[in-house]
Amino acid sequence: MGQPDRDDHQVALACGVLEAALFVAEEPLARARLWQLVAAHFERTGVPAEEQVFARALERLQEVSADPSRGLVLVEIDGKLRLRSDPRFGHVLADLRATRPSRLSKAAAETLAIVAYRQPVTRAEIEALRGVGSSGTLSTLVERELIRIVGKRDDIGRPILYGTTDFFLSFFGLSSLKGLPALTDLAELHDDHIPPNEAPEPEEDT
Amino acid sequence: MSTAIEIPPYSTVPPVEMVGPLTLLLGLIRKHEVDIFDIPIAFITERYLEAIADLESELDIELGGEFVTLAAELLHIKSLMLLPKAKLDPTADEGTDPREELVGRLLALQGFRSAAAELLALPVLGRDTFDGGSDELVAGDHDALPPLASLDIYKLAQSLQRVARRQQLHTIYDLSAEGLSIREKIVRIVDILARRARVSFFELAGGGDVADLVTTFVALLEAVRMGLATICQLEHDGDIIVEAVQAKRKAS
Repeated sequence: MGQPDRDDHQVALACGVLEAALFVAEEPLARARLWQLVAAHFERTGVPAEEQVFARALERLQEVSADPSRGLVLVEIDGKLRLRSDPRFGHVLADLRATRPSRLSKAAAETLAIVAYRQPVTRAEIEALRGVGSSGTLSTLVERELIRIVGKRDDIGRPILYGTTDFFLSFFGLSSLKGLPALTDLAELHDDHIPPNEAPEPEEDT
Repeated sequence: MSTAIEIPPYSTVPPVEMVGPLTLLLGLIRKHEVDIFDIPIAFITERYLEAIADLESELDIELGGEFVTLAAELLHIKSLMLLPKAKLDPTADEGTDPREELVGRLLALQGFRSAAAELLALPVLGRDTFDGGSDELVAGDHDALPPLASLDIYKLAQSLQRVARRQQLHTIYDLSAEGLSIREKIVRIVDILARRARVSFFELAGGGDVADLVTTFVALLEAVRMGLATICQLEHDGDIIVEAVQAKRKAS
């Protein structure tokens, strides 16, 4: 506490460990894992690692990544941390990659949104909302690993239930499902007697 | 003229799944700047019918039944609105607008559509932002999966299908030719009924294997449908009594 210079040095060092680890890691890293790595490095140099130093190092990394002169941003995905290229440069970087993900069609995005906000949800419920057959769109989304079958509802016909995947969070850079953009309730915007939960009851397949 | 039938071309892949009937209706409401809470049903129905006719001629296909269903719903709503609000049922809710249910559905869909747009406005991996290294998981890039990724049962089944498809494994089914046709069975039943006015199902099906039993049963149902026989069952799980139609008439 009484040695600001020494502390700053340690924070800088820890920050370096964090950046290197996040650069090399193939997957997002949990805070606990990052702490292990920092502690391991400090142990080698014979200095006891302090949690408070680690916390400040994470803050520092956050600040650094917000600097417009840097091309990497620190993102939290599913509660874990990862360095990603700055979205500002996406359009020029795409060429560097051999594989390009195909764009999500309007139908796919709409279906994906319904699954994300209503999960676990059955195909019949999705189709009732969209008013159109959605089996093709659903299998495309499953194929792209954005949604998955999470189980079957204990109901007549045991319909399949869909939910989003971990990759879904990674794809949109979401820290958790709670980080989804708020679903605006359009009915509430109007001074009317339409019930707030305006979704119709799922219709039976006919 | 040798060819009277025109075969429709199947060269175009119609982007029909993109536009469901509700989406089409939403588009029309926006295009004509109609208040969604006070939809002029007659006007919008007319525009809707025009639009589906346009779509059909443009794409040269027949649109799915759901488009027609919505058209019917619109007309139904219009007819409900035209009906005088007679107080036939005193318990009926006076204030219910026949359009309410449809508006609710349109708003729900609109909500999800704007949510979808917001999602796509986020920095999307592989489009706007990239992970370090060259072997990141790209959507749909299954080869990049680590060998011992945690998989659930559905994923495992999917992987098996994928492997099977890749290796072009084809299961060869050994099917033996069917010995009996339903048609033959019907003829047999009718023959028997011509000689005897009444016969039991157990007797008809007796001695055969399962396939024979099923064929006989289907044939019997078919015979009833065609009006060649009548059936009745006296007790649950009991025998079925088959009677010739004429015999029954005489009896009654």
